[in-house]
Amino acid sequence: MNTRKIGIIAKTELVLSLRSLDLILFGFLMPLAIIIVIGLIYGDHGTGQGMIERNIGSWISIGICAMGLMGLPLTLADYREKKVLKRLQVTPASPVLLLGVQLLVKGVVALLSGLLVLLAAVFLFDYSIAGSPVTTVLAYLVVLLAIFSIGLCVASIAPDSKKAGLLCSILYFPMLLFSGTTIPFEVFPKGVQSFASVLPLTQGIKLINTVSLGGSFRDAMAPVLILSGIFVVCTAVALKTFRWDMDA
Amino acid sequence: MAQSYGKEQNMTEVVQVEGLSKSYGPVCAVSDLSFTVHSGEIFGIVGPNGAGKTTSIECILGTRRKDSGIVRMLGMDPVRDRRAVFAQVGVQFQDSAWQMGIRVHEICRTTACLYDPEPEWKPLLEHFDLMKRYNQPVAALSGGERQKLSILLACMHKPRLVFLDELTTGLDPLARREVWKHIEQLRDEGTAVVMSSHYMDEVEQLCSRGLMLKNGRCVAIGSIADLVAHGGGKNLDESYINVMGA
Repeated sequence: MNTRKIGIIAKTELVLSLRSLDLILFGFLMPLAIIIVIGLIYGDHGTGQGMIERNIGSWISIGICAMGLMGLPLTLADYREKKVLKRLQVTPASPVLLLGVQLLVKGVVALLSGLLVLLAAVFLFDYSIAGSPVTTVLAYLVVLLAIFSIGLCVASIAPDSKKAGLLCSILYFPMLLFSGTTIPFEVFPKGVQSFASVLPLTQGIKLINTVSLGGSFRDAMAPVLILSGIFVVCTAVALKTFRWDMDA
Repeated sequence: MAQSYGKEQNMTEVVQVEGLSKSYGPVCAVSDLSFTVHSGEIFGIVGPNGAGKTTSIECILGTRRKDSGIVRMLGMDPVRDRRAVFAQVGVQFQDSAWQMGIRVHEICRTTACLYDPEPEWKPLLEHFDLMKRYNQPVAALSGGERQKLSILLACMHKPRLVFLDELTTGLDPLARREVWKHIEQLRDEGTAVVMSSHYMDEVEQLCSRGLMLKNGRCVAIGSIADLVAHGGGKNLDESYINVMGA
């Protein structure tokens, strides 16, 4: 399996994804709407240390949340239930290829979503990054892999599309509400903050915010370790429990 | 030496099934099924709905877990050697499944990608008279066109063995005959075919050998003439009715 082949399959899956209205709505329009609303409420133009600067990680992560905890697991669960995976089981396709392609495709959508939010922040609210852009992109990818591995895990464990949908909602909505992606983390009362800190996405956002403000990975050691741990465990579980067909 | 002997044997025996059994809870779906399929032949599995045709095929392919029995395809274990087996075997399931909204050229292109070397599929689209549907969603095709596409996808990599599960169910007579033509062509190109069907005219026309399943048990096996003789009818249809009705 060479990269050209992976590219062809990924391109088709990307086209199929982009034909879905859900993805456009939750992946692009919602994050854009949130950054604009938050910016209009809290934005303080040009001071360089405002709400937007301190929390950019929150809003560029909405796409990770939508793709990793909804798009990715729901697509895989749907392909299993509709027996698309069963058809692939009788070809030389490997589970790693299958999961890898979905990870790649939904990852690209999440990246585009983050980029869109970033552009809105820059052009509408004079956002500028204090930290290293390269380190920030790396942090973003760490968060993406960790959250996506949770999604892969859900896809492997859920017996059918309905249960996958339920599990996704249980994971997605609390993280969307309490990790700081919609309402900024810093405006929550202390009690809510300590609950929210348990959520993987909260840790991820902490990491992105830290490095985008000029910190290094070392300044956010706890989130890095937690996210890496999640990635290792969830990927292992996802591969171990992968099923082509739940009726088999 | 044993290795080369085994290889030689596999040239002729492309499917070996021995004592295959499968139950769903207390219901026995397939019981102690044994048969072999040789290269170059079309082998038919017939029986009424619920006789265990699809369960048998799926247990042979490994997409359903068998309770007991031994299955070899091209001399390999289809579960343990899945990727090697399906590089040389093609399958059309009873209900083919597609990603929602996928178009004909997209499903062809991504399926071709899975094989090495990558098969040419555009000439096949021409051959199956589907080029005019190139940019159509698969869901918009007619029943006959969808089944032709199924054969195309199952065979684009020039497999040595193909499984076709109730390929012509639900097709109009003209579409059925067009599909037959393609199955015969596969055989002429040297591909062994295992097909299930409940149309006896189809089995009589296409298959050289076959077996009859009734309540998960094989009640007759052999050449089509053997099957006809077993039921004591003038043709396979009569014999089938005699065997299944009894």
